[in-house]
Amino acid sequence: MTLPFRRVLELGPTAQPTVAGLYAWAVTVAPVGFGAHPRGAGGTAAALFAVLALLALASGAASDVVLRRRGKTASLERWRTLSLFSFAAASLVTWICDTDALAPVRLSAARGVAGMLGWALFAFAFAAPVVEPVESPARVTAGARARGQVERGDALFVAITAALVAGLQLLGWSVQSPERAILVRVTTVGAGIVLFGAMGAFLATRHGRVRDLARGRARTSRTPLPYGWLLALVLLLTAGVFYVLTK
Amino acid sequence: MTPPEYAFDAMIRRTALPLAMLAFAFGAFAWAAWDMADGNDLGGVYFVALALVALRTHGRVVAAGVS
Repeated sequence: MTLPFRRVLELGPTAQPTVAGLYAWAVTVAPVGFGAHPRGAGGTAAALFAVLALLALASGAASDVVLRRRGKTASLERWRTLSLFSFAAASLVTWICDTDALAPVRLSAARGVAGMLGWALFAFAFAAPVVEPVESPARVTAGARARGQVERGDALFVAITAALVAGLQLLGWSVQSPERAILVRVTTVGAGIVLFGAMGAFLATRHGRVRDLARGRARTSRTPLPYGWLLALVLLLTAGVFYVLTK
Repeated sequence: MTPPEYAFDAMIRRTALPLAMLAFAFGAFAWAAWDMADGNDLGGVYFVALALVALRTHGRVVAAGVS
């Protein structure tokens, strides 16, 4: 691997929280700091603290790169904590300087959701433990390599689930209202994720031991029967039938 | 290799039931999306809840070693 490319890859642990933080700052802090402010709203202070927040993020990224190269893990963790709190505190003060900037009138719903996602991503990326530098990184060999033997029939499950999930995406394309169209898309995408998750769980059960399967009738497992879930399912089905009959 | 006496049992437990549950969940989700597209939010929420509860129930029943 060429040296410059290797250097870029080594920036990965630093870049993840930095890019997420930069995104959160650009969506939620910068518009408050550098946007139009009503008279007496502390516009200068908001701009100052928005810049300070960016500087805190930049200093955190720079110290991360330098300390990671020198292998100083303890200092690295201290700097990360310091830069996290500085960034969050400066962002908070920016918002306090002009609280109306985050009001629904001035902040669109899409930007609000984007900002929320940005801060969530930043929190997840920053919560990751510090990755210590590895002296001799593992070599990556070219070519595909199977993780293990694929049991017969698994491909059938994957293909059927993929077809079902793709089929869900065909629904709801003629909806006129944009909000409702987004709701339908979110529902179908979420349903697809749930179906793939369920498919994974089913595949795991398919590879259970034969002994477990043979003793199916005489259950000896300590896991209790999910009476609560069964009751909820029966109640839901009953409520649906009752609703249809009385409609 | 599954013993022959359990082959049919295994086919039902490991293939037919999970596939039926996947099909049921797909149907409920599709109905939910259809209802939401039509403006029937109550129906949409109902069928999403039904699919989630059905999948969860099946998963817990399988974990209990019954199905």
